[in-house]
Amino acid sequence: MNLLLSAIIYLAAFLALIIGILAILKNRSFLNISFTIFAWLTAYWIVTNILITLQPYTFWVRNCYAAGALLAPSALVWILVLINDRKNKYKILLIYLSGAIFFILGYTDFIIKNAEKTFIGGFEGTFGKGFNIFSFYSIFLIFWILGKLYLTYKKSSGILKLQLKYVMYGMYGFGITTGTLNFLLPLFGIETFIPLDSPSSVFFIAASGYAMIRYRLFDIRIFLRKIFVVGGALVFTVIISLFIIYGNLAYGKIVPESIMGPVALIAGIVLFQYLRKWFLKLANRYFFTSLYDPQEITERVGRDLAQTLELNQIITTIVKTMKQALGTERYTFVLCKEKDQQTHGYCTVKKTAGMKHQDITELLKNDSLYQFLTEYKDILVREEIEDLTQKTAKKYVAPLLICKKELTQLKIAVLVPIISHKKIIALIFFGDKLSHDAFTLEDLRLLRNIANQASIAMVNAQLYEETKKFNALLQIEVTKATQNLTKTNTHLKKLLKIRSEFLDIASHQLRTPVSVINGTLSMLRDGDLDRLPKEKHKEFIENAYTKGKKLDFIINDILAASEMDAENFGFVLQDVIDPVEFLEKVVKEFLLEAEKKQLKLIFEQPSKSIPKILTNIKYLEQAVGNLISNALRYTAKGKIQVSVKTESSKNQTVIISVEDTGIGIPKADLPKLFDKFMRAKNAIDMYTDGSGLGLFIVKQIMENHPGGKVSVESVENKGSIFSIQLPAAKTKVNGANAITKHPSSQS
Amino acid sequence: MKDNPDVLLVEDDPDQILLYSTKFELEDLRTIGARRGKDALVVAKSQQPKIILLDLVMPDMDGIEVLRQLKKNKKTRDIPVWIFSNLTKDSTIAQAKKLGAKEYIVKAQIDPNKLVEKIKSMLK
Repeated sequence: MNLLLSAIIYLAAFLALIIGILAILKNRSFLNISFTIFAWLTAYWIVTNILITLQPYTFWVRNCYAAGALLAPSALVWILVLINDRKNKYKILLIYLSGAIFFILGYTDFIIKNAEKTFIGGFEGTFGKGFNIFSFYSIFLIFWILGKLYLTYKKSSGILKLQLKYVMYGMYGFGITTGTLNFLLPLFGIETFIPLDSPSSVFFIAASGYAMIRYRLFDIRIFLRKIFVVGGALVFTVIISLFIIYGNLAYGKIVPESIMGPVALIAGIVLFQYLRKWFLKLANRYFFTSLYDPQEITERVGRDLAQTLELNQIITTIVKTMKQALGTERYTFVLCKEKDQQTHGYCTVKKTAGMKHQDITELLKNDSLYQFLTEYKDILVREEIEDLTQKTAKKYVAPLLICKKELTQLKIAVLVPIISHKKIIALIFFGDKLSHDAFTLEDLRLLRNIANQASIAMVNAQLYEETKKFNALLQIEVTKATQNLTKTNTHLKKLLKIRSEFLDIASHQLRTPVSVINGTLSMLRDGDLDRLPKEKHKEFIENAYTKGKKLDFIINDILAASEMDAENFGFVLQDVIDPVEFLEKVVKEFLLEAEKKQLKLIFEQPSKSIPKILTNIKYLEQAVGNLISNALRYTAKGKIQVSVKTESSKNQTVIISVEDTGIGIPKADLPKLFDKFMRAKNAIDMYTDGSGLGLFIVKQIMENHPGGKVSVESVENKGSIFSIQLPAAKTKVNGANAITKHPSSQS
Repeated sequence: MKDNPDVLLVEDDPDQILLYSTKFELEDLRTIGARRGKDALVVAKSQQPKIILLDLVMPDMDGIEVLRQLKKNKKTRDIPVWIFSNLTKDSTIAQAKKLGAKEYIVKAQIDPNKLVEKIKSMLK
């Protein structure tokens, strides 16, 4: 019984010692130091409870009480530091000092007068005068500790609350037990249970350990895990190896003893590796659920993010890493457009798991939350929202509390904003951890770290995306511009070709009369003509004269065309004329030429009266003349009929037509027939002494008349009908002097 | 050979036919005429003129085509062809020369008597 009791006590002392060492190894903050002091004093005190069985009893019992005097003050100091109540350094000093005083007094007869008989954890003897004072002092400190813990626990929230809860359980267990067994019961003369007081400190040890493991109180979990994994695996390996060796011996040395050692060693090494993994798995699953190496994760994320510029891939990487580190399955990644401050409208859910799209959208409708996060720029932890409301601007308090309610309902634990240039570019929601652990400071530090890296990566990705889009747009523009250029170029080339062909033909047409006139004149000069009969002589002169006239026509056409090409071409509509009279006169001028070609040229008198038209007679003559002359040129036999009519319904439009029985115009050439230099394909092959500008001139003249136009109907090899259309002049001619502008200039 | 005409004038413009044929006759050049390309091919084959003056711009068949046909036919292949036209485009001149035209004469640039001299010196 005694052996078991001392084993429990030694084990408890050893654990307290180890935990104290771990705390101080990890971190030299006052929190850890004060804990270490407390833990070591506890270990020491536990041991003194066994030491009292040594001689001289009185000294060792006094030694035990002296050690005990230090326990409550050191615990109180640690608690005060833990709950961050250390404004008064003198208070802490005073507490330690009071402990020191009782520690020294413990070695006098003030508390213990003498001890006659001892057993583990207790003694029989006489208390000193001051025992009651000492008791009250200890009980007072213990109640202070418990009260402080309880009150702080009530007020606190988040991680601290959870930590305090476990520390409190431990403290309650330990404090109440110790107080009861050591002080309360002895006051009533019951001392039987005193031996159990010191092992009861295991309550506290276990609670602190648990709080540390689950809530990272001292950040020593990685170390603990290593001890657990390696130690566990080592113990198992040794046990199994020994079992093999023992089994071998028991069953008559199946394997010779000489090689059994190496075999066991190899088996041990193999086993160790396997067991280590198994323990690691075990540790990760049950004891250290969300344990990770922040540095490694940060580096890995940095590496992964550096390898991609695809936004979706970046999001996947971020979410995956955060998820793994936190040990949570539920998340939502929301992308926020930078443009606007207020905003839910600009947020789009990019990726989600285990959460409802709609819930998140609903949550984001809380504009105040968005604004708060823009100002807060940090991770919002659900459990810390209440604390936050005490520090933040008043306008955010209500929305934040509403938000907390919603987050609780949706089981969302944290909200990580990704910020760039003071604006939120993304929000990540994470659900509670699978282990239901709280989010630790280290978790938040890691999330912050990843969020910062994510911010850079996302901005890069967006820039890249924009550049890509811009490039694509540029490419389209360039292609378009190139196409336009190519088109223009082709058009210009075609124009040049047309112009060159025109010049070729025009110069031919200009040279032909010149060559006849020159030839005739040179023959006249050389006296050739004198050698001819008079009849022939006259014919020669007449020929040259006609050719001279033709030359004049062609020159006129070329001049007219270049005049009409000018941008500000226009002429005055100054003449009101009777179309019938006008046409009779024009047709007469071509009768001789028609006769020469043995063609019939007829002007058909209209059946009803034709209204007058407002025009410029010089230009209209040119237009109609060009049409008749074309008809004569391209008609080999048959007739040319000129007619005039009004549009049947209203007497407002006068239509003059020139109809021939000539070669006609191929369908393909009709649309461009009125362009400059344009000749129908079948016309190019013909001997003509025209300029190639006739129809262009007609069109320009007609377009210069308001409401005027020229049109053509034609069947190849059958003939053509060219019609010009003019509005009838109003009875009172006010606009007779109107100047009309060329409606559009052709290049 | 002596019965063969000296010149075949292929020309569609009556004014020019009158001018040049009159001049040639005055200078004792026996001249025959053709107003269309098809006629020219027939006449050239049957009459075997000593020289052909060939206009280019003509209805139905232009001078270039007539030249091509003349050079294709055994009977007319060796008759010297002079292009006699007012077209002056380089590409047209080059094409005519390539097809076998001996000379390319621009009507407006030569007086009728100079033309006669040129023909006579060739005929010697």
